[in-house]
Amino acid sequence: MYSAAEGINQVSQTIISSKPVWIVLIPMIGALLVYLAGRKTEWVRNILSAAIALYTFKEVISLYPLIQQGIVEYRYLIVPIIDYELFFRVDSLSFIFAALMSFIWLLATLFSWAYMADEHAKTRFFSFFLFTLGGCLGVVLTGDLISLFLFFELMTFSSYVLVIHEEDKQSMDAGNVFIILGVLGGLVLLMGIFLLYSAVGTLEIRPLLSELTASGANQPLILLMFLIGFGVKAGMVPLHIWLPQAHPIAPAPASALLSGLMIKIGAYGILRVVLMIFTGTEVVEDAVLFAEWSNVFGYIIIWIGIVTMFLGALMALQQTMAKKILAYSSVSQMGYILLGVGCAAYMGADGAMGFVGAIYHIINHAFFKAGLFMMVGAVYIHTHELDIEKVRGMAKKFPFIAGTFLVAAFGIGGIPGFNGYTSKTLVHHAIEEAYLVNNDPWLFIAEKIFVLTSAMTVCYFIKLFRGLFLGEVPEKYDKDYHPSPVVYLTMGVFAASIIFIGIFPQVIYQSLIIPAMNGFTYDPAKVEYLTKLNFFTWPDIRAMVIVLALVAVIYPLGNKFKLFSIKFPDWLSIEYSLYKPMANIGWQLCLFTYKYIDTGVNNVYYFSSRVCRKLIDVTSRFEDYLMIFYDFDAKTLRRAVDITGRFEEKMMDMYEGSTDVSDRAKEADKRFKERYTDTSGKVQDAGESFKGRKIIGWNIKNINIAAMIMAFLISVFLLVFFYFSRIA
Amino acid sequence: MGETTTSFLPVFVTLFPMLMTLVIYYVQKESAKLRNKLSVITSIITFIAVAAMYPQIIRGDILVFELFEIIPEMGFVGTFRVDILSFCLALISSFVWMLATIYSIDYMSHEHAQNRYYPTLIFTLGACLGIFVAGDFFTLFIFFELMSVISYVLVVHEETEEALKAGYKYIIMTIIGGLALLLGVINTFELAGTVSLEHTGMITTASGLAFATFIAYIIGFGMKAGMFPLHVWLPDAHPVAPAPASALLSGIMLKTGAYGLFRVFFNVFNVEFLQETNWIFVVTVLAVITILLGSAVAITQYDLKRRLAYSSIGQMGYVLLGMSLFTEAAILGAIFHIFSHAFMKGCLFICAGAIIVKTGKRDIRELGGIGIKMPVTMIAFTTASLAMIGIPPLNGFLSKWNLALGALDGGAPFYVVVLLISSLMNGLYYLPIIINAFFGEEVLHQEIKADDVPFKMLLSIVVLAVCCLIFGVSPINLPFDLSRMATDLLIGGGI
Repeated sequence: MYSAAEGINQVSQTIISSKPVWIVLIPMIGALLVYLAGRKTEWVRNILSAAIALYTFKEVISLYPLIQQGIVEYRYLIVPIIDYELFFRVDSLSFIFAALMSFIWLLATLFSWAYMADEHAKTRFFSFFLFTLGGCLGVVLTGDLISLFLFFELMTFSSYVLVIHEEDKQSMDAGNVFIILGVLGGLVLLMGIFLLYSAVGTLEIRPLLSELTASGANQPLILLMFLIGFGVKAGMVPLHIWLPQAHPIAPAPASALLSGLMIKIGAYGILRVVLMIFTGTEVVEDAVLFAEWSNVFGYIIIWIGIVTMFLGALMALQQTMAKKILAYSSVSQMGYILLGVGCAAYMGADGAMGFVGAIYHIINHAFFKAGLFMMVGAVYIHTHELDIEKVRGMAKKFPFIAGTFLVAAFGIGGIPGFNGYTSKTLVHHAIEEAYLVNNDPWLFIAEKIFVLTSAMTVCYFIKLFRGLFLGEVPEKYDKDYHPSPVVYLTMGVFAASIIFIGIFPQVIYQSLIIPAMNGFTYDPAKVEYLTKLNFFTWPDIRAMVIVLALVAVIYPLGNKFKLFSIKFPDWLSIEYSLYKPMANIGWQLCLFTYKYIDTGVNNVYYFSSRVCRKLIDVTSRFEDYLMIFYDFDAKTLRRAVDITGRFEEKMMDMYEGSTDVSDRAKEADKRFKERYTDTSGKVQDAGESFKGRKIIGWNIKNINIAAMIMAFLISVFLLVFFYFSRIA
Repeated sequence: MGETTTSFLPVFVTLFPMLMTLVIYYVQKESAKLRNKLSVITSIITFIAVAAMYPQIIRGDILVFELFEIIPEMGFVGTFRVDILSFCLALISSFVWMLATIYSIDYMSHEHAQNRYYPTLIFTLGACLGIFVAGDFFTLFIFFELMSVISYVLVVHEETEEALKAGYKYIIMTIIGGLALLLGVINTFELAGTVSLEHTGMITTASGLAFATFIAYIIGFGMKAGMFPLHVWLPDAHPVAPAPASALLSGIMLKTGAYGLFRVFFNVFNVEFLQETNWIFVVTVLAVITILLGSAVAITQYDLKRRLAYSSIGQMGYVLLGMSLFTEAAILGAIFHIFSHAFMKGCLFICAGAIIVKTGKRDIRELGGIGIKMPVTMIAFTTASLAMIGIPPLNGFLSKWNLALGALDGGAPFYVVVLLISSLMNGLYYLPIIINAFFGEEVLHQEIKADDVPFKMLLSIVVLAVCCLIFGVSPINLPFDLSRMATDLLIGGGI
């Protein structure tokens, strides 16, 4: 056995094959063909879509011999300049996902024949149904993160069309939450991809820890980005809010795929990033706990898983809509898967148990959850109502479906002999191992929550089964129903698969899950221990018996105290307390930007233009004033001229009268002479002091008309005086 | 680097449409049909003439031509000079212009004043190409003013009160921008003694005047590019113009501002200088504000064309951010985004035009179920919108990818966050239109025959949408190769 373990860890050869490309392209091209066929005839379209799904499945299966030899790779160069290429790389893990998807997709396509018969827009549905398969297969078959992102986005957008198929208000609202969170998750993922690429310069999905450490990148940030990006798709609490809205609203085959497979894409991504990219290539001996960031994040993921599984189960217990119960159940079961991934990451190279548990539960959950959604869908085809308070007693009408439903419910409940038992046991082992690493008391509590959640899972399925299938048949639905043979076929295949895996757990375990560890870094001793694992041991069965005993206590109590129909207040829901306010704040911010910043800038421009106009006004008014001033000036001048004219007249008069004055002047002259001799001394003094003063300038303002007249008169007087004095 | 070759082509591509304007103007008196045909033929010939430069450009040659001396004693010469960056812009401009002209034939057939529209459209093509092929800043300035002023006629085409008001705002802002640009050119001449694009790093000493020059250029070109505080004319002017004109205003004419800033950053100044003085940070901050503001406001708009106009502001922010980060990948992203945005926004605006013509509705809430009635148009619209959001494998993703890597290379993850937030907002304002169109309740009770859009309109729409698709992540990506070469030229400093 040791050699087998050795073989798993050795680097296997690389096979170049274009098969993965075709596996992805066939459904995508097929979608177009189905669309074209759908315009002509219905049955050709139906047959064609199933044929394409079948062919895809066949192609995937044909990869199996290659996978056993090594890794299948194919590079399709897209833009060589920036090393951007479509890189397909298929290892065992990818193969498990691809095989699972193509198989269940095939069954769902068959089931759609029956389910979609009375629906509208069938061609659109089948077309996008197949296209989404291509997107999903692309995600798991690509070998680098950028190609993965490409298909991830394609998947999100094409599955949107499936979610809103009904096109009523409810589904449009659910679709909006779905698409917005999908885009948001995609962008956060892209951020992580950018950061990773700028740190290590490659996006290939392989252990990159040494490169990351060497580059000194901010590892927790990158991990967080990836965790959120994939977590949205995985329905991880608190990013799960789209899931319980979108999954029940879609047509049953689509919900089956959304719940059974597409949320696994998120788990796949987390698995690849945390367990592969952020781990080293070598097994480190005696590794310290929390040596790497992936271990720390493993611990976080364990707790996210615990919270997700518990809250999911609690919410599932409170629902009455069958599909809502199943949707919350999906949230809860994703918690198990995340718990497995978390344990694997937490324990590093020793975490093989969590790894196989997560993978096995992914496979099992795909079978029973897809099956369950289709089984209630089969009832819905005839009743068009799935509220368990309205539709009851369907076991009498659909005995076969009730039987398969019971099988699937046993599977999800983890009853020994059905498939869920194996994977739950593995995950349970993983959490126990994680607890034993350093006896973390918190993980002890986590283990107890795990057991409690398992009991609750059984409880809500008892509730669902009792509600939908047992009891009296309401009058409204008391008719004879004849489900189509396709329904019997698909339900039968699901039930058979569940029982087969449950009874022979080693088949899938040895042929698929153990080889999947190839490429991941695990301790060979652990791997060897796992290969020899036996599931049907007494301690494991006892654990299940404990769970059932717990159910026997919880269910009657819950029924008695009406614990299964609590209406939680709105504020308790994450959507109301977190997302709606956030969306509201975002909207208010946008409005604020529009109202105040954008319009504000606009107003600044208007304001400045108003200011400019005002300035212009002021200038023009100034000009007016100037005009007035000039006007005024002219008037003044005219007045001055008038005054001068009048003055001249007066002058004439004065000349005429001056002869009379001459006599008086003589007398005055005498007096003047006397006065002169007196004052001459004083004048000389004044003249000297006057010279000392500085004359600033001759100013016309100081001269007024009266002074001018005076000066003129004086000068005339002096002229006369000198004239006469000379004569004398 | 290649050699310098004298070629008549650069002059031809700019003067030929201008001369044809006269011909078209006189022909239209004879026949409207001939006028339309001549317009289309002119735009096609211009595109071919631009494309004819390809063999020489791809060798790395630089095509020059000296026309005549404009102001001889100052040494201003009407020079034309085409390097790879000019070629990129000239190519995408003439290509989108050609499609818009073809689209116009059917779109404008019921409009008034077509006799004014076509000559203006063709003249603006010449002026716009003139900006790209100009060999010195003075020539560039002349063409820049010609284009800005003449395109006023396109903005106010409807002659409604709203259009006249928007046009008034546009012309005033344009004149302010033009004056600022003139100041920049004069200052450059004062400081460096030359304005020819042959030189790089004309101003490399920090001084008050140099900073004034920088700011003057930012105002002049930033005004055209719709940069944050100078963007106010854009959301008014773009929606009121006829659809092909809005497609050109948003898709091409905004890029003249971006092109001018490239020339300013790499020819007038140089990378080291701008980084040393940290002046470039002004542009980076404004670009970030532009991105967030454009995208945020677009969400609040319900008028289809107004939403697209605000989206243009946001997208121009990407280009400005990319060119201001100065890392190789960022510049590559910026140049490639010029291509991408021309395809995407051109497509979106002419789709919007087709929708508005057919339904008469502009409010996006009233466009429910339009996707069923006009499938081809709406699928093209969807393709372009998804490209805007940056969904692989469309071309918007490739530009975003390079811009983000450029930001990370420059050690600034913050800008990546800005880009992603803006992408989310792009999703928030484009997705409702698409969802409403395909799955929304039918509000429109108007009978429309399936895709009753005339062939010529449909042709342009489909060609642009296909460009968004094939110039994304595809093996043969001519715009990407050209952007790559232009980046090498800019980074290598071999302009």
